Amino acid sequence: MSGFSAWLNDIEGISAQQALKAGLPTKRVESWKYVPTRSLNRTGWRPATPQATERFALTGGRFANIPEVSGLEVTDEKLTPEEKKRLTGMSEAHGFGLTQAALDHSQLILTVQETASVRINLDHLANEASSAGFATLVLRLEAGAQLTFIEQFEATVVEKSNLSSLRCVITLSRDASVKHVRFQKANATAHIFSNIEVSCGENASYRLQTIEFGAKLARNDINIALAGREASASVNGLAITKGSQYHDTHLTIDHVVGDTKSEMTFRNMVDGKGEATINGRVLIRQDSQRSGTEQSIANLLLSESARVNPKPELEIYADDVTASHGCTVGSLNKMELFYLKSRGLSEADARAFLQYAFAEKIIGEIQHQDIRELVETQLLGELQHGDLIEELKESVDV
Amino acid sequence: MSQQEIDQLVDQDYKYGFITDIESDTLPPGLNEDVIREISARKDEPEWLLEWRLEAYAKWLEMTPPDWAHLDYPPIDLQAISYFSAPKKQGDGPKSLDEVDPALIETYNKLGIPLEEQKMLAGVAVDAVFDSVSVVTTFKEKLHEAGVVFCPLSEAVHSHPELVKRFLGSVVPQNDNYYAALNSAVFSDGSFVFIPKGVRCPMELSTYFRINQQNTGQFERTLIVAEDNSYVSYLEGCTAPQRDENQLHAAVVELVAGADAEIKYSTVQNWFAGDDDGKGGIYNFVTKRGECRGDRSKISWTQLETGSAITWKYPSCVLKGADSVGEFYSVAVAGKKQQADTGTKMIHIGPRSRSTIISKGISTARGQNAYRGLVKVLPGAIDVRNFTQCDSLLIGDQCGAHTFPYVEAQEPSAQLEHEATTSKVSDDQLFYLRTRGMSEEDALNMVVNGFCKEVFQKLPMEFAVEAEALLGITLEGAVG
Amino acid sequence: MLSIQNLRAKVDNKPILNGINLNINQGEVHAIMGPNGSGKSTLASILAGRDDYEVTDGEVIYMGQNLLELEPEERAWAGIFLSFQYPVEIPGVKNIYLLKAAVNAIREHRGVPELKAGEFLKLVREKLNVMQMDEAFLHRNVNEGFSGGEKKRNEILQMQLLEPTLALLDETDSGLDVDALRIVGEGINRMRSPERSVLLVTHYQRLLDIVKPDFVHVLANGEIKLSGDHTLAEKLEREGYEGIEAA
Repeated sequence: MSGFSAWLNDIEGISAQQALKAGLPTKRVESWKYVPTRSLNRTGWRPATPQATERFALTGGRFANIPEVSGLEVTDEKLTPEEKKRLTGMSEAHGFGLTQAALDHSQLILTVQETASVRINLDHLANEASSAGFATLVLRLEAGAQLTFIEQFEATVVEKSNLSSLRCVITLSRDASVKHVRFQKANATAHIFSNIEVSCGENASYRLQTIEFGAKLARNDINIALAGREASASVNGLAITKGSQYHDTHLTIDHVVGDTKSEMTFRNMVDGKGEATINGRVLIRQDSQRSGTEQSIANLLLSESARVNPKPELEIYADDVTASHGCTVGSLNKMELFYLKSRGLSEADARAFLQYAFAEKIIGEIQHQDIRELVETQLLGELQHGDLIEELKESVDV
Repeated sequence: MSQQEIDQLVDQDYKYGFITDIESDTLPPGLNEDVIREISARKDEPEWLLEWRLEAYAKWLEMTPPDWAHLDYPPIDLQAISYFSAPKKQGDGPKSLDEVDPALIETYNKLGIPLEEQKMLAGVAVDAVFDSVSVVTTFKEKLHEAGVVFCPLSEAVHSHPELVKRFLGSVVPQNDNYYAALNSAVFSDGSFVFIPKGVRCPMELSTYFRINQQNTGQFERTLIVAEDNSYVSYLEGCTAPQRDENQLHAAVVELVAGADAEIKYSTVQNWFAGDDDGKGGIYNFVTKRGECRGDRSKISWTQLETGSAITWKYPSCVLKGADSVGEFYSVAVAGKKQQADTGTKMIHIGPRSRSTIISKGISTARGQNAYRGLVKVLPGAIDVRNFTQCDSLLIGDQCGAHTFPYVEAQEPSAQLEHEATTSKVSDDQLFYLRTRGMSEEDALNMVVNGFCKEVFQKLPMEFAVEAEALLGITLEGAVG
Repeated sequence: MLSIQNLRAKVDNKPILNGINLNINQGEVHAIMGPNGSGKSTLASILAGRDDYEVTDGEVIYMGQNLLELEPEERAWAGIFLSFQYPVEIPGVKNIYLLKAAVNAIREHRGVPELKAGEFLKLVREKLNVMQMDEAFLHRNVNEGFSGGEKKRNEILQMQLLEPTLALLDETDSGLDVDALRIVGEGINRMRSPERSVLLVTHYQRLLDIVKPDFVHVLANGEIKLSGDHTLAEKLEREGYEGIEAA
């Protein structure tokens, strides 16, 4: 594989561990302020090798079984200057990006053809101890194309510390739309880095739903540029952080032109010694009149040692806009608990009900039934006393 | 020292020496240990304070200016500043109001400031008929009876050395940040307030302050201590635009509240904002912090920030006591080419401590206004509550409004709420008012005043009225 | 069945109840009336186990048990039901989940077998019919976006399903239009039986026209100032609370 040898050549005998270490930003970098990089530094990382699979997957930094679907084309050409620029911008945003770029195993460019409608499922597979895999995926949508892009990170039977990084550049031409769903339930030993760089042309729409249950450390850098009029973006996220997990999402939505809309809803549920960070930034530029944005961040703290660092940011240079954000931090609502208990539910069941309700606000929005059901089932497994709700769902949902 | 530098120094000395005889009152520009020794000597300070300044200077040398704020300005040459200038004596300023910039007088009149006060503000030598001294004396007697200490910090160093020594730097340590360290090394003067146990300060310390506390210098340092079960309300600054030649201001304010004590600190800041391109305005880098050290202590910051080219200011509360309360009410206006990065920090350490943050940002012309705030809840601070509301109003399409609220929650029983909105002045509201006969400017004024109401209500009564008028003046020319 | 003796309670150090004495026997319907702020709702909330109040004195014996020692869910299992003055909205939880979970939790503690899905649905439909509620209610989130009247009907629906021994109805008539008042009132009447007692808390007489109480008590300043039969309610409606408060 050329990507792999390129990696070795690029870094000229430096071990992957050293390269990683050199590229890891410190806490002095504002956007990495809360990231516990210790476990990254400690592990002696080696390049990953791909695993056998029959599905479209990213494994060991390489793509396997690239889908052959009508309307979807594997492009063997180079990156456009624009894509390059965005990849570079991503790399320069913080030191780690450069490491990611330097260590890239492979790159895949997929084009969804004009007015085609395509669904692809990408599995992230990693089950090799101390392995680190890096890749870049470029998705191009021609005018009016529609893509449903579902990413899944599943837990493996044996827990092995590993690292995977995917940089994903998505370009939507006019009238194109993407429904992007990420469901991350990797082992609690995994380190997952995702960069998602999106650019929306005129009247294009990008919808992201991201659900994080797993990983020891998961960091998402999501940058969305609304570059054409009437473009819109919506991001919907849920992270359940337990044990000693750390989840971090840094999202920026840039209203490059006017008449663009964005919304973001994010929920963190933190238990045990978990820590979650959510940074949602919206930028409305000077000429981006008649734009609107709405952000809402809710954080539920369930234990003494849980930590949460939410930060919704608005940076606004145009005056004819509507912008708002709301952010709450708290534990389970006492009145709601009392109400449920006064109806005979035990404390544990009442707590499970409310946690389920908190998560369901995000999960219930997933339009793809198969994925939604999968996520709901997994959710109930995440909750203590989730069995009551599971039984209820089976018995009364028709 | 290079020949060039020597020439410069000679040139400076010559310049000052030639014009007046105040060369003995003003040190040449530049900062080093000798300058600090000189400042301390001229103020006749005790040895411990000199040591304290030098310690701060040593720390400052290791520090770098903060770069995280949403501000854009060229590096400040701190060696180009003179660090000691004795208060102006009568006779230095204009001889009468006729010599004062008519625009300034017009503003004073709009604010309804009495003639005699105008003279003081403009730096006019006050004639003997205006007996300000007797007013001050009456105040002083009243305060003395109550046991309140209120004097310049430089005086308190001599009259109450044990108090100053105990509390100075205890809230804002010398090396808290770059500008606080600089202030600690070179601070000029400021106020010292001490309210003993159980005393309710008989008057707003504002009135006295306005008449008496001009020319505290560019490195002002204020220390207010309210012992258990006491109360004080303090107003800093002046609602009238002040003349000031110093471009950099780096002040430090420290508040200490004991159990059941309450400190209310109000600021109206209207320093020169510079011209329409931001030239010549004040750079205002301020560190203000209060500690609620006892149970149920309360610190409340209220500010109206309309001046300065650059504002970098985060009046904060460290809520150590159980059931202690922190409040921050702010209106910040950025017009012209002003840049404001202001907000607060609420650090919850004590159980059941509560905080409220209401921030109203108004941006006009090419102004950039940023709210930056931190609400932090430390482990063990159970049942903490915070409510934060940040609203931004944009007037015109060349300005900006930004919100950076940080939350760090480490305690599950905390209940924190943050809301923010950004919008322009509603055309419907303006239209409605104009159909009722109001001019566009008056209508705008009314809408903006309504927007700020929640905060103005927290200002002491007399200043609330002036604050509204001041806001009106700041908004002049914002429409049409 | 229920015996309240010298019950005193505070909230935020402010006394709300100043020595309540009240006995309710099986099958009786008692109404507690009183002006705003008299402590009516506090009494109902304390009986259901809300912990925002500090009980400073007195005791409450319910069917031989010290009620104040029980958790809210234990009280529910023991047959106490509170219809909330302001029913709580729980976004994300379907009404039917709550109903089924509650019914089965209480059945389990009474030693009767849980209802199967089919039996439960049949029962719910029957009760919905009584309350003239649409089946769509079951699949909406608990009280979320319900109108005031819908919330109150939902409370009474829950009561019908949970079949309490002692029902505490806190201002169940407030926010209801005439039709809804009739439906809710009839829903309550349908629940009256020799085994079941009801404590109605209300400000107005109008619900009492439909649900005729056996006893009426007037609460003012945290004390029962006056007790009588249902004619007392009519008198209050005519004359107001003023005279009583002064007493």
